[in-house]
Parts: sequence; C-alpha cells; structure tokens
Amino acid sequence: MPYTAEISRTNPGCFIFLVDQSASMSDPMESGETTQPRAEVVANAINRLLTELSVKCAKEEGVRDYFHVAVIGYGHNQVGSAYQGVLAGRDLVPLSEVANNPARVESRTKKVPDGAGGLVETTVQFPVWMDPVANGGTPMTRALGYADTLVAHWVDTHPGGFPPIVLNLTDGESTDGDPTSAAIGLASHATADGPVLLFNLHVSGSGGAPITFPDSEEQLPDTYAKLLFQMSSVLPSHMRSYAASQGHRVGETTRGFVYNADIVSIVEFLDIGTRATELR
Amino acid sequence: MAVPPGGGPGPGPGSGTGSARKFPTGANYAEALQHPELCFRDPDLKFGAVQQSPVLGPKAISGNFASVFSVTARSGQRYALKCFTRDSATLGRRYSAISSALGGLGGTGKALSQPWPVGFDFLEQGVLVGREWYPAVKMTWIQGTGLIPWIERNLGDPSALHTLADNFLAMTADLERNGIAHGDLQHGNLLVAAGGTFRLVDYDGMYVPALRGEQATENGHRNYQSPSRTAADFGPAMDRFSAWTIELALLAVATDPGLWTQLHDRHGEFLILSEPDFKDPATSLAWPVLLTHPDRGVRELAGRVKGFLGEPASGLPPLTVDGVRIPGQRTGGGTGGSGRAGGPGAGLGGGRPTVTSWTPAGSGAASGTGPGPGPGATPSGVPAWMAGRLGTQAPAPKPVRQPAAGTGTRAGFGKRGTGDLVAAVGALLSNSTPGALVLAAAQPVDVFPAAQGVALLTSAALIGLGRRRRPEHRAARKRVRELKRRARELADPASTYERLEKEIRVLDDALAKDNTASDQRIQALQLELRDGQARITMELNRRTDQAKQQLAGLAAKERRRLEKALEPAVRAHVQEKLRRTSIEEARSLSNMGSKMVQALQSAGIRTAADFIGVDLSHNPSVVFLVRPGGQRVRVPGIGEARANVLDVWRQSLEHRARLSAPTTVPAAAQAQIKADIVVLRRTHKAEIKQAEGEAQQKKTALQRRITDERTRLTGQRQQRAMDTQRRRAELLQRQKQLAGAEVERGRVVSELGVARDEVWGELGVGSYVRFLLIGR
Repeated sequence: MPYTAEISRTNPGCFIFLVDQSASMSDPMESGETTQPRAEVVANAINRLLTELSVKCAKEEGVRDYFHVAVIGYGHNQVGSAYQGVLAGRDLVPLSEVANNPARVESRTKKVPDGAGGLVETTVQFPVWMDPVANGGTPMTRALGYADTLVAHWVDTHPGGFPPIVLNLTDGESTDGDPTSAAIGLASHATADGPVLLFNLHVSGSGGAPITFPDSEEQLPDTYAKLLFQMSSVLPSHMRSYAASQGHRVGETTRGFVYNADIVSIVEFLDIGTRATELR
Repeated sequence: MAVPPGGGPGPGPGSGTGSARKFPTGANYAEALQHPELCFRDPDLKFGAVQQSPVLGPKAISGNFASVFSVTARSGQRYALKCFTRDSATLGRRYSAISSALGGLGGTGKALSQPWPVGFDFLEQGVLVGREWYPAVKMTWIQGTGLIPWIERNLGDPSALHTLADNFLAMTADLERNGIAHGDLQHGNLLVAAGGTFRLVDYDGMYVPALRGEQATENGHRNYQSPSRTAADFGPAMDRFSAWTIELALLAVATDPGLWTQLHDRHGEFLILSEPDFKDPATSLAWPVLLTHPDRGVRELAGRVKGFLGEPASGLPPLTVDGVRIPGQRTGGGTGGSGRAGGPGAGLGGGRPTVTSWTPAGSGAASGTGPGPGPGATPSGVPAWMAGRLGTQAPAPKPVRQPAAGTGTRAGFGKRGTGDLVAAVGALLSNSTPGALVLAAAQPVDVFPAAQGVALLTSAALIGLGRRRRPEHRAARKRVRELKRRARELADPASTYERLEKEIRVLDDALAKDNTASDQRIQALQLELRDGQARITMELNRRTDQAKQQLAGLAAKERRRLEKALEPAVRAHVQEKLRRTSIEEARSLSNMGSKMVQALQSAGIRTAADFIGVDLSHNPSVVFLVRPGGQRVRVPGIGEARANVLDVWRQSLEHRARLSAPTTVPAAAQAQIKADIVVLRRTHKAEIKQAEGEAQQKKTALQRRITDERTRLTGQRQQRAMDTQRRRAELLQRQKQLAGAEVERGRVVSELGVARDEVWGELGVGSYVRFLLIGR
C-alpha cells in the first residue's frame, strides 16, 4: 500500500515548500482584525510551520532529523532558497539544523487571556527563517522544475522512503508558461512507497469563500483554478482521514488543493499537507 | 497518584459535547508555556520554571499524541507535563481508571518487583491555550535513561544486561498478574533507573480491568507490534508480543553484544527487530542471524518469538521465566558466583554470560569459576560474552615433568614408525654400500676414507633426522623452547607484564577495528538490501502502471465497444422507421399542407429518411434541406420556419425510432467483444505477472546475495573472535603466571633442566639408535 513507509532518521521524509514571491503577493489580505500583505501571511505561516515541525520531532536529546525541508521562493527573475541567515542559499536542510538556525527570533506582542476573564498583552518568541518578499513575475514552471531536480535526487537516494511532498503556495498565474507538464513531470517521480505528492494552494485575491480540498473540478470557478486542481495530487488515505478529523468533507478523489485560501485555510493546508505517516 | 474529582467524565470546558475538538499543536503549547504564570492553574506549575530548548523556547519531547514539557516547581520538585495534541473524549475517564488501578498495586502480599509505576495527576484544566483550557497529565519527573542509550552504555556488561532482562520480565509479570497491559511497550516508554530497574511511562493506551470492553486509542509502536494486532485486541494480553520481542532483544544482546552492533541501527526506532522483520520475515536479515546463532538459548528463544508472528496477537502466552529458559538448562546463579544469583529469571546462558557452544575444543577456558576480570579489565574491543570467559583461567600447570606426547607414562621413544625404519635402513645402507661399490670397481685406495666419511656423515644425518621427526622429540623441544621463554619472562616480570598487556591491547584493538569494519559492512548490506528492494519495486511499479490502468479501464472499454457494435443495428432500425414514414405525414404539420408536400416530393424527398437536416448558414432567406448524401437542395416554398418545423418533426421521429431500436448486440458480435476483452485482460495480467515475476526473481537474487555475504561476514567475525579469544587467553595466562615470579622462575629453570636432560638423555641420539635397533 502506498504512503505507509515509516518516517525515521534512517528513512526521513522530505518537504519542499514553493513560495510565490511575485509582486502581487504584496496585495493586502485579511488577517484577524487587521490586513497584511499576502507575502507576510504566507511567510508567517511557513515560519510557524517550521517551528511546528521542529516541536513535533523534538525528543529528549533534541530535534531529530525525521524530515529534510526546503523553502524555495520564486519571483522576480529568480528561483531559489528562501531561507535567511545561516541557512541562506541552502535547499534541503535536515530538520535539526533548521530548528537550531532560525535567521532570528523575534519578540512579538500578543494578547492572551489572563485566566481571570480578561486579556493581557505579552510578548512571545517567534523564530523566523524566511521573510516576506514580493517582486516581479511568477515563474511557477521554473519553480516546479527546481523542485523536480531536488525530488529526483531525493528519490534516488531514498528509494524506499516516504515520497517527497511538495507544497506550492501561489497567488497568481504562472508567467513562464503553462506549468502543467512541469507538474506532471514532478509528480511522476516515485519511491517504492508511491509517487511524489504535489499540493497547491491559491492565496485569496478577492476575499471570497475558500474552496478547500475539492474532489472534482466542477465546483471550481475558472480554468486557472481547474488547472491548479489538475496539477494537485489526490490526498493519500492517512491525510484524508486527518482532514476528515479536522472537519473537512473528503472522498476518494479529494485533492490536496485549496483555492482562494484565507489565513485559516493556509494553516490548515500546511497542517494537513505535512501529515506524513505517524511519527514516533 | 491521585486523580482530582474533576477527572471523571464531567463536563470540562469545551468537552461537554463529547465531539472531537481541535487540540493545540505542540508548538501552540510551547508558545503558551512561554508564560507559565498565565497558562497554568496548578500552583506547582504556575510558579515553576519550564525547561528551555537552545533556540525554540520551551523544550518539548513529542510523541504521536502529545508533547511533554519539564517544569520545576519552586519546591525544587521536577515534573513532566504531558500536553495532548489530539482530542480524546474519554481521556479523563481512562486516566481516572488507570490511576485507581495503579494506586492499588503493591498492596499486601503482592509487592511489585520494582517501583515501575509513575505517579501522575490528571489535570482537567491543565493548560490555557488561546481562550480554552486543555487537560494535561502532571507526572513526577523520572531520573532514568532511555532503554536504547542504556543498552548502548552497558553493552560491555553482560551481567547488567541480564539483570535488566530479568527486571523487564519481572515487570511484565507484575502487569500480567494484575490484569494490566500498557498498550505501547517500546524503548521510548521504558526508562531505566538506578540498579537497572524499570520505570514505565506513558499510560495513554493502558488497559486496566475497569476499561474492559473499550477499544484501543492507539496500536502501539509499529516496530514492536504483532502484524495481527488491531484496536480490538485492547485487553490484558495486548503487550505480549512486544514483551517477548523486548525480552528476546535484551537476552540476545546480553549473550552476544555483537548482535546489537549488527542488528540495531544507530538511528533506528527499535532494538534489534523492527516492523519489516515481523511483516515480511522471509526477507529479514535479522531472523537468520538469530535463528542460526551459536548460542542455543538465543536460537531457541528467537525461534519461539518468530513462531508468534502467525498467531493472533492476544492469543500469545505471557512472558515467563520458563518461556525464555532452554529446556533442561541449569538454573542460573548456582555455579557462577557472578553476583546475580537469585534473579527472577535465569534466562539464557544459565546465568553466566558465556557462550559455551563456541568454546574451541580443549581451550580449557570454559570451566572457570571467577566472575571474570574486574570491570577495568574488560576491554571495550572484546565482546562481553568473551570477556566473561577470558577471566576463567585454566589451572596453572604443576611443576612436574610432563610426559612427552605419545608415550603415555614414561619419557623416551614410543613405537617405531615408517620414518624410523627409513632412518634405520638408510643408515645401514649408507655405511655398507659405498664399501661394496669400492670393492667392485677397484677404486684408488685414497678414495676410500673420503667415501667412508661421507657415508658416516650421511648415516648420522639420517639418524639425526629420524630422531628429530619423532613426535616425542619435537614435543620435548617445544617444551624446552617454551620453558626458556618463560624463564626469560620471569627474569623481568614487570616489563614482561607490560609487554603482554600491550600485546593484549593490540589484539583487542585489532578485533575492535575488525568488528567496527564488519558492523559497518553489515549495516551497509542492510541498507543495500532495503534500497535495492525499493528500487526493484519502483521499477516494477513503473512497468506495471500502464497495464494496471488499462486493466482498470477494461470495463469501460467493453461498454464502449458494445455500444459501438450496436450502432449499425440502431441506425438501420432508425433508417427503416424513417423510410416507412411517408413525407405525406408532414402534411398535418403546422403551416405545411399538400402543396408543400408535393414540392418536397418533387425535390426527391418522399420519406422522412430523404433528408437529414436543414442548412441555414448561407443566407437567412436561402434555406437548404440536406440530403443523406450531404447534397443540399432548395425546395420552393420552404423557408426558415417550415424548414425548422420539418427538422423538429424528423428529429422526433428519429427519437421515437431510437426508443424501439434493438438494445442488445447480436450474440456473435457480443461474444467477439467479450472474447477480445478477455484476451486484453489476459494480456495485461500476463504483463503484470511477468513483471512481478521478474521483480520477485530480482528480489530473491538480491536477498540471496546479501544473505550470503552477511553469513560470510558473520562467520568471519565469529572465527576472528574465537582466534582472538584463544590468543588472548594465552596471553592472560602468561600474565597470570608472572605472579610469584621468583619462586616460579626457580621452578621453571629446574623444569628446564629436566626437559633438557630429557632431550639429550631419554630422547638423545644414543637412545634413538638403541630404539631403532631394539624398538625400546
């Protein structure tokens, strides 16, 4: 049965995040009571997820390398690592190194309940690995090609492992040609445990209701959404059941795709899309 | 170990409905715990200090369902706080039942083997995250070592490992006796405290009698479970498979630490066996190593555990002392005096960490009495099972003259053999023959003495050679050499001791280096097998994907072909119906009439079959009817409106005709289609089968190659270990003999004298010549 390989330090998993850094990512997006540029919302979500993964893989002796993680930005004339600080320029990085090397740890103020019915303002430490960038076009085809190279090498060196998961977060149409064949090429790589998983998230432009994890393209509004849907892999069964446990309606053909995502569905997408097999 | 009254199924905040709610993630908790004064209600925690990680704030230890944080209260008491990341409506109730069950343990008359239960409080309002309280379990922090690091630290101490195995067995017996099962027995939940006793942690999946009839919320670590375990196995027997595999691992490693280095993967989440060994024992590299291990105990226990693989998980017998002991084996602790007498289970090796079946014949090392060399003397490079034996010295030889080999009771030569006859005959001939030759050939006189001299020398050499070839002589000479060496050593015992020490170290280092190399090679082989198998599977998937898709599409294909086969009959039927409908019938249509019908007839349209549509594309005012052949005809009087009416009329006729058309394909055609599909199905299946067969062959070949190589390596390793052991025992013996060097030297020197006398006396040339002549 595919997508059941154990994830361990000898059999690590692989996550590749593709982050759209085109100019339109500077457009505003609702974020709680305020609005933030989309790029900022996405960067926050990725940074939070890296913390999340690190905590999830933390053991007595420290963070274990259950995963290797790449964060690839694509925007103005450029496709490459979006890590900053010590990790700048690196592609797939073992999780323990990620955990130990955020570019910086910010103190952010946050209102939390004081336990007596009121709210109190406190600061929380927030590790940052990538900053928001918004500039130029959307070279999605090249980004998928970049991921293809990483993935090809990964499956060659981890033939029995859990297949790499590629999560693409974008807000617009590809500006360097139809990405379909690049996506098909990317998803045609496989380990013995199954083909590579490619999940796509389209960040909201309009603020309309998000369409999360659809199982057919009929409910999608336009050809662009349909294209992204077709590029997305069907959710493996354990992700399906996890999505269901999180209140999503899912079926056999549900795909890892969110259209018109708001801030909540970005977090959900990352949460569900990075559920590899159970960790111990 | 109390559960507060609120620990029952009472309506905690947000948990009243029983429906799953989203729990915080590990990182959510880590963020909340940045402010213990805000996120806790429990006073110990509220004013406590949360342990921090180097970079990411509060340090978590995460599992599948929870993250654990360390909080030290003001009092100095340290707690482990378990924060749940998945909802379970029954959490509070379960913990309450577990708390009562564990609290009642160790009462009168049934004391626990060791203090393995860990105290906890279930806090319904444990941690405030966001605006909600979430439950948490507050436990006393256990000072202990994880099972894997503990084993690695104690690999060189077989006695400690045996004690650990005994303690593990005793703990599972405690659980069994009380009808309790942990649910997830695995290295991560087994902490080893001082004295090699266990502390059992993580009670989320625990079964206690009060939980009878519930379902498991988890099925335990994949590397410790029977392939047949399901949630329905939740009950007192659910630990048995894990218990047996853990006991097997502990005893095997205690018996032969080399098994750890060979079978445990440095980063592996298992001891020596893992899920693939259970699910696919046929391709496992571990089973053959265990099942053919030189130690009978390891072999038999491994065989027993392997036998459990096909059995229902909860039908296995409990782990008992008798279960792990070899039938007919001496109970442990009796003869060894090794300091672990009276352990609850003698286990393998009869209580002594030895591998008796490996003893090279006549090495004399297996009958020892001592507990082995002191801890300092156990070199890291030597397997502990050997270290245990190497200290057991053969008794020091008594300072009496030892009989030369082959004689039985007295020194001197034994029975004459072929070599002696050759020597005797040769000596005789070489003395007489030259004389005879000289006489016959009338050689010059002065030649004679020279020839005679050569002959004498030759016969002397032959006698000497014959004597040297005698086993008695050789043994005696060897003995003299040995005694000389010892006399030399005894003359300067200190430097000799050091030299021997160095030799032992060199030996140990060499063995350790060899072992490391072979460990690496074995690990590499395991990887090679795993990756090789994966690559074969990938290749297979690539080859069969298309065939599988085709196969899946065959039903649809059959349907399409049947429809297609039906089409001519349907068309013919429709044509026939249209042909039988005279254009006269169109007369009654609105705005038509006989004039129009006549016009149509004169344009050649006599039945509904004589036109197939209208063409308005040229010019709205110029309307064509389309004939079946595609030609367009203009019919005077037929404008757009009438043309459309005609077209609708014709379509409705066609529609009606289709309804009455045949629906089944003629039997012959149908049979043909079905036969074609069968052929296609067979072809695709054959393709898949062939690819699978080839993949299987490749896998088998790979498996065989790796297994052979592995067997060879293991054999080599054992041989090397044995050789080293023998050499080492020898050196140790010599070292030991340095004690009391003065007295010993005197003894050796006098013995040397005796031995020399023997070589030149009883075994001297004179004696040999006499022996040649008279056989005594």
